[in-house]
Amino acid sequence: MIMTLRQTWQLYRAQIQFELVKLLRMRVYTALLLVFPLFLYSLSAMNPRVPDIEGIPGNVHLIASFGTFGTFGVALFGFGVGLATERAQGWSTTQRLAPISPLLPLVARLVACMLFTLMALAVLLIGAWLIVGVRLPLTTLARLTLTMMLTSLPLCAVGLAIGSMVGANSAPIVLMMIYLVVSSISGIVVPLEMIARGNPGVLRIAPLWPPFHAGQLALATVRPAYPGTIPLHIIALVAFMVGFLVLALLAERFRGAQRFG
Amino acid sequence: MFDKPAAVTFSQVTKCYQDVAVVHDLTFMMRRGSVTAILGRNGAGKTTTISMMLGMIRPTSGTISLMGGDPRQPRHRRCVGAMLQTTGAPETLRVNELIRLWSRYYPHPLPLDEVMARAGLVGLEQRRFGRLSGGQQRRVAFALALCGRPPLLILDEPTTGLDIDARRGFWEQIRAFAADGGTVVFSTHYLEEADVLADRILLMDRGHLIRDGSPEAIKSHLGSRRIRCVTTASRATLRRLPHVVDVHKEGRLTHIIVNRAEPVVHKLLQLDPALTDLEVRNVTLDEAVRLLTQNEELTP
Repeated sequence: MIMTLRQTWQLYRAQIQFELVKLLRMRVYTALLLVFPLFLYSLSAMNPRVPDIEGIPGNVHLIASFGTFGTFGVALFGFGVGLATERAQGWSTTQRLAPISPLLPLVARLVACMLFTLMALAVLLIGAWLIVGVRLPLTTLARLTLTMMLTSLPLCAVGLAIGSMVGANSAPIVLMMIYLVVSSISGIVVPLEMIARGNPGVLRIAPLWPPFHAGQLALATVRPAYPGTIPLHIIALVAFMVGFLVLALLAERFRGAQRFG
Repeated sequence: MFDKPAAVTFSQVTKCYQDVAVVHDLTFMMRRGSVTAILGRNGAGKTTTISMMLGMIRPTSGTISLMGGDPRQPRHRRCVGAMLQTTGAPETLRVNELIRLWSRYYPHPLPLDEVMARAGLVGLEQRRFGRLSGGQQRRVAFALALCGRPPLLILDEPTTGLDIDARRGFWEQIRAFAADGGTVVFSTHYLEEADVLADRILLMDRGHLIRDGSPEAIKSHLGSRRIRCVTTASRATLRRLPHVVDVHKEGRLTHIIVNRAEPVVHKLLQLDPALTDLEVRNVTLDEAVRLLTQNEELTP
């Protein structure tokens, strides 16, 4: 009973659709997830006294940083909480009966997260244009979109790893704490240079967190990158992604080994 | 021509959790086209056995073969439709969406309409999983097991939580599946269910396989009915009656395990016309296992 390439492609497509539909059916939850970064962005960017940051207008800088903040939110609350909830509902166990590789749901979640990031970014960009009047050049827009979609993968891996280890009841609060703390010290809510003025130590610990690297890559599409840093950010994100995905798979495997009756 | 490999083969399989063995040295083979029931009380090791059969957990020692291969490999699991004791699914998804997705996991799935009809889900296609009753959710699980057109079904307590009509409907489906040459392995608490469906019963207790045979062989050993009454007839007299397997007194009540109830009741009334509180019912699995293991006495 071997599947053809066409069947395999259809399988992946169906699994990705399935992941998206699951999330989109929770309309209020999804809407809040998509609109929250725009809300915070508007609060900051509509301030007429928002200063230039790192040599570019503050409201442009904030698009890249709040875009990463939104992506991190989608990864943690869309996919991390989602996975913890599915485990509690028993779907993860049911799915272990399916004659599929454990990579299929994982890949589908990653791709769905990428597509969801695209939606969140679209909401942010359209909102920034309509509310604040910021329009990015088309090439910048394309680079930012591509960068954020790709950096959503390691952030999603963080969400999946935590979602596969934490119970459904505690997942929202655990992820909320991680979201707020890690976002703050990664410079994707308040620009890092502003935080560093009050607490220079943050600059030393920021690179320990994936959102910092994702934020720096997003910022590098709207302002010049610091020389030689882009490959380092990419390497760090790839390493984080592999590490967190392995953690998620190991957690799943460990849980499977605990089943008995 | 070589014979096809057996549907399921267990060879000296043991499973331990933290040095405690929950399944001991299981060895059996299930031929293709058979319907096998795994019977046992809670904690007998049924779910562990089925989970190992499905490749969900690894045995501590021994080997397991599913349709001639490793049950952990997707290509062998593609030959199996399975159903666990509890079925979870995302509550926001509709029944037809779940079944469509699951059908994609197999190269030659059944048409959706046929799956719906066979699982008794017609009319519920658009219902969200979270809005189904417990029994309906079990039927969705059965639909997921069937939809890939597998030659082997492995079902863990499939009728738990179903009402009697749904249970009978399920039995019909299993019979139809077996009549088409399919192989079925299921675990159950219900002796009656095993009796009605299976051509072979594996009776487990505390991780051990204590009986392996046809329902008739198991029943003839156990006695299939239980008579309870208040009688002055002695245990020794009752034991000598035809069809009586076991007699036990508890307070003023006498419990008699029999192969056939009617002739024994007839004889009892002749022996003791003043007999009272007569009750005849099927032997429960619990009692059957207790009888077989001889470790505990019957309780009313």
